[in-house]
Amino acid sequence: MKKILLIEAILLSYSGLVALIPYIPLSVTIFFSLINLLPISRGNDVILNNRISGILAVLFSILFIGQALTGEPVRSIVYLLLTLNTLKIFGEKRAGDYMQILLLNFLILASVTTFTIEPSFLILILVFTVVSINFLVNLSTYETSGEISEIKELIRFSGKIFLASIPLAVLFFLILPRSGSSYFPSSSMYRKVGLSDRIDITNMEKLLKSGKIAFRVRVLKGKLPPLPYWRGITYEIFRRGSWYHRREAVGSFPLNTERILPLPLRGRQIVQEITLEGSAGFLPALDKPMGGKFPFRVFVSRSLVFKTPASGRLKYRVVSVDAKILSDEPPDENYLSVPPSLADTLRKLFKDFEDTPEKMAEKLSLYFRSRFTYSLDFKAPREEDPILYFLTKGKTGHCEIFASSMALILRSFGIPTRLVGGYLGATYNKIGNYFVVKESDAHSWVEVFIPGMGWERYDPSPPVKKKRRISRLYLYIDYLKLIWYNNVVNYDLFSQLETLGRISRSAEKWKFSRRWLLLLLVFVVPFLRKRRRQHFYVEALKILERKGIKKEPWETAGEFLVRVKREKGDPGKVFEKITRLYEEVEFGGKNLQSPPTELLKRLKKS
Amino acid sequence: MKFRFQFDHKTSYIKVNRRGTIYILLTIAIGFAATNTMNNLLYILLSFLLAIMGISGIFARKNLSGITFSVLPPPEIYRNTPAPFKIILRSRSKKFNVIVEIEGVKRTVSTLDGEFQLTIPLKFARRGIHRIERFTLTSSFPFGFFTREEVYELPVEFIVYPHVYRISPEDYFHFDSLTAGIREGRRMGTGGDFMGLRKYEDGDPVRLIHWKASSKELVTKVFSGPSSVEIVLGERDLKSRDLEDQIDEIASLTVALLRSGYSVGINFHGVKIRPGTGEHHRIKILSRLSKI
Repeated sequence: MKKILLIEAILLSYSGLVALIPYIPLSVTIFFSLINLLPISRGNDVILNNRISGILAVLFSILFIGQALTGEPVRSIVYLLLTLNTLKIFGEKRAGDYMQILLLNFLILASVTTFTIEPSFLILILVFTVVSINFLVNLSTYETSGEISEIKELIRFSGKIFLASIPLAVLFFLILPRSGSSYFPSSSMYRKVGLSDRIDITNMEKLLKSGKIAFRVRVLKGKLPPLPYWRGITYEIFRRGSWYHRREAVGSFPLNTERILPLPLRGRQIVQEITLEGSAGFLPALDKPMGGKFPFRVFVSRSLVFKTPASGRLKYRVVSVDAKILSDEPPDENYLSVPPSLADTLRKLFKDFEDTPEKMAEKLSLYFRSRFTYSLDFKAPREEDPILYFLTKGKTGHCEIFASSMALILRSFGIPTRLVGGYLGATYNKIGNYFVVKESDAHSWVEVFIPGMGWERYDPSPPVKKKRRISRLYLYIDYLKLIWYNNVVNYDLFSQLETLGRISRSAEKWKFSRRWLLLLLVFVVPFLRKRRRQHFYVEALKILERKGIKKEPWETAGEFLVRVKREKGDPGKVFEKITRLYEEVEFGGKNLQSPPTELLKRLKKS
Repeated sequence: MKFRFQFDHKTSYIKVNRRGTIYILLTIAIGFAATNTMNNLLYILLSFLLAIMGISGIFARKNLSGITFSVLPPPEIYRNTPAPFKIILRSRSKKFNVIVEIEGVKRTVSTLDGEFQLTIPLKFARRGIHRIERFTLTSSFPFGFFTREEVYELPVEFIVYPHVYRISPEDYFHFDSLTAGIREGRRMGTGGDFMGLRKYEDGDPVRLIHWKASSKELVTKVFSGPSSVEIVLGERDLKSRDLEDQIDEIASLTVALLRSGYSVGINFHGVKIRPGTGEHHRIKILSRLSKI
C-alpha cells in the first residue's frame, strides 16, 4: 500500500524537477531524477534512518542558506528544497513525512514562478494538482483505514475532485483582487530583448542571427505599413566605436489613455497592442509613437520606457502616426558630436556629397543602397577604425554599420543626426490576427534633422529579403502563447475592470434574456424541487402523516414500517409494499419507470 | 478550531486538523506573495489552493450526507458484559472512510456502498434503563484537512440487566431434599411453557391435541408443568453484602435455578415475584431486578 504513496511522492518530485529544467544545470536535474528513484529500485523505501537524514538536512540547510545569503537566494533555496525532498524520500515515512514531501514540492513549484512565465508551467501545475489530489486522498484513506484498498475507485474520485476544482480555480483567478499592473520576473535567468542603451557596432552579429521572438503586435486600429519600422531606442552620443542613449526624460504618457501627446503629426493613426517576449529597457512601438495606454515615460527623441525596470511579457498599447517626419524639439550639439580625427577623414572622403541636409541624406542613402552590400558578418581589422574600414575597404556590413556611417558622415558636415535602434518588418500570424517581430528583425536607421521640418527617417541599409515562411503548427502554438501572455500573465487590475465592464455591458445587452432567466428561476426551479419532493415514498409518508402517524427522523424505513403495521394495521400492508419498493429503488439500484400511483391511492383509501 | 452547525435532528461540526491548519497558512502565505508581487503564476497556485479547499469541503459534506442508519441493540444486555449492537448503514452513493462512533466506541467503514452491517460490542457499567442518545458519523475524507462530524440525536432505549455470572446453586441449597421434587415436577402440565409434541396417550385432554400435526396419528402438545419445587429467593439466601453485588448474585442464582428447572420467585428489596418458570418469567425477574 505504501508503495503507491512512494510512487506518487516521486512523481511529485519530478514535476518540480521538470519545472526547473531550463533554470538549473542539466547535470543537477539528472542527478536528482536518478537519485529519487533509488527507493523504488532497491525495493526498500527506507535508505536513511531518521537520525542520519535529520543531521544531513541540518547540514545542507546551513550550506544552502549560507549560499543564499551570499549569492543567488532563489537558486540556493531551490537546491535546498530539492535536497530536503530527496532526504525525505530516502527516510522513514509516516503520514507526516509524506505531507512534508508534498509541501516541499509545492514550494519548489512556487519558487519556479520567480523564473518563468511560460505556458508550459500551467501544464505542470495541472499535473502536480492531479497527482497531489490523489496523493492526499490515498494518504487520508491510509491514515483512517490503515490500507488503500480501492485504488481505482480513489483515482476516479480524485479525478472528479480535480475536474470540479478547475472551474472554481478559474473563477478565483478572475476575481482575486489585483493591485496595479502585473508582475514581471526580473531574474538574471531571463533573456533580454535586443534593445539596450548602448550599441557596439562591431558586436551585433549574435543578436541579428537570433531566431527568438522579440514581441507580438495586435493592430487594434488602422493598418500597418507594408514594411513597418518599430522604433525602439535612439542613440545620440557616439564614443569609441559605440553609440549611447541620452537618458533625459521629457514627459510621460498619461496613464490609461490613448490621448495623443501635444505634438501633432499628420498621418494615419495606428493603435497597437504590443506584448514583449523578453525583458527590455526600452519598449518598441511603431514609428512614430504619439501616445499610449500604459505608465510610460518618454525619453528624448521618443524612446518609450516603462516607469520601473520592466521585463517579461509586458503588454502595452501605443498610438503611432505613420509619418516619415517627426517635428520634435530642435537638436543641440550632442547630435553633432563626431571624433575629430574621424570627422576630418569623413569630410575629405564625402566632400562630393555636400548639399542641403535633405539632399545630402538622400544622396548618401542612395549611395549606400546601390554600392554596398548587406551582410551579418562584419569584421574590421583591429588596427583600423571600423567605420573607415567599412567605407573604404569592406563595403559590406549590417544595418548598424550602415546607419552609423551615414549618421557620422552627416554630422561631419554639421547636419544633426541620431541613430534609431528598433525592428524592421513583421510576420503576420493569420490564426491569431497579429504580427510577430523576431530578434533577427532588429534594425537601425538614421534620423536627420531637416531645418523647418523636423527629424526625417533615412534607411541606408540595402534591402534584404528575409524568409518569413512559418509552419501552421508554429502559428497555432505561437497564438496559444499570445493568449496565455495576454490573458494570464498580464492579467491585472485593468484587465479585471475591463472584464467587469464587459460583463456588465453584456448584462445590459441581455436584459431581455435576464428577465426570462428570472422567470425560469421563479417557476421552473421550484417545480423541479417539488418534483423531487414528490418522490413516491415521501408522498406515502405525507399520506400517513395525515392519518396521524409521522416518521421520526431517526427511524429507518424498516423501523417505521414495523411501527405503522403495529399501530395502523390495514394501511400497514399497503405501506409495506411501498417501503419494499422504496428500498429496492433507494438501495438496490432498481430503476422505477413510473411512480406506484396505484399503491399510493390504495394507501390513501385504506 | 471547531465549528458547530445545528440542524433539526443532527448537529454538524467541522474541525480544522493540523494538516488543514498548515494548508490554510500556506494558502495565506501564497496569497500574500501573490498580492505583493502581482505574479499571476502565484495567483494560479493560490486559485488552485482555494478551489481545492472549497471542493474538499463540498465532497466532505457529500461523503457524509445521504447515509441512513439503524442501531439495533441485542435482545438481552447484561451489566459489565459486552453486548453486540448491530449497526446498519445504508447509502445510495459510495462513501469512503466513514468512522462510526457510538458510546465512545469507534469503527471505520472504508467503503460504504449500499448496505453495510457492523457489530459494535458495548459494555454498560450500570444496570437499569439506558438511552443511547448520540450516534456520530465522522470523516476526514477526502484530504484530511478538516474533520466533519455529524451527531445524530438517537433515543434508543433498552434495559441493562444485572450482571449474570456462572453460579452453582449447590453452593446455596441442599439438593438432596429438592431433587426428588424436581423429578416429580417434570411432569406434563398445562400452565407452563410449550415444550414439544408426543404421541397421544389415553387420558390426555382433547384440547391438548395438536390437530394440525395429527394427520397420521394423534399428537399431543406437551407443556412444562409448574415445578413442584418452588424457591423464593430473598436477601437471606445471598452471600454478598453490597446491594449491587446482591442484585448480581440474585440474578445469577435465578438464571441458574431456572436453567435447572426450578420454579423461582423473589422477595428482595420490595420486589415480590411469585415462583414461576420459563423465558418470560426469567425476563420479568431480571427486568424487575435491573430497576431496583
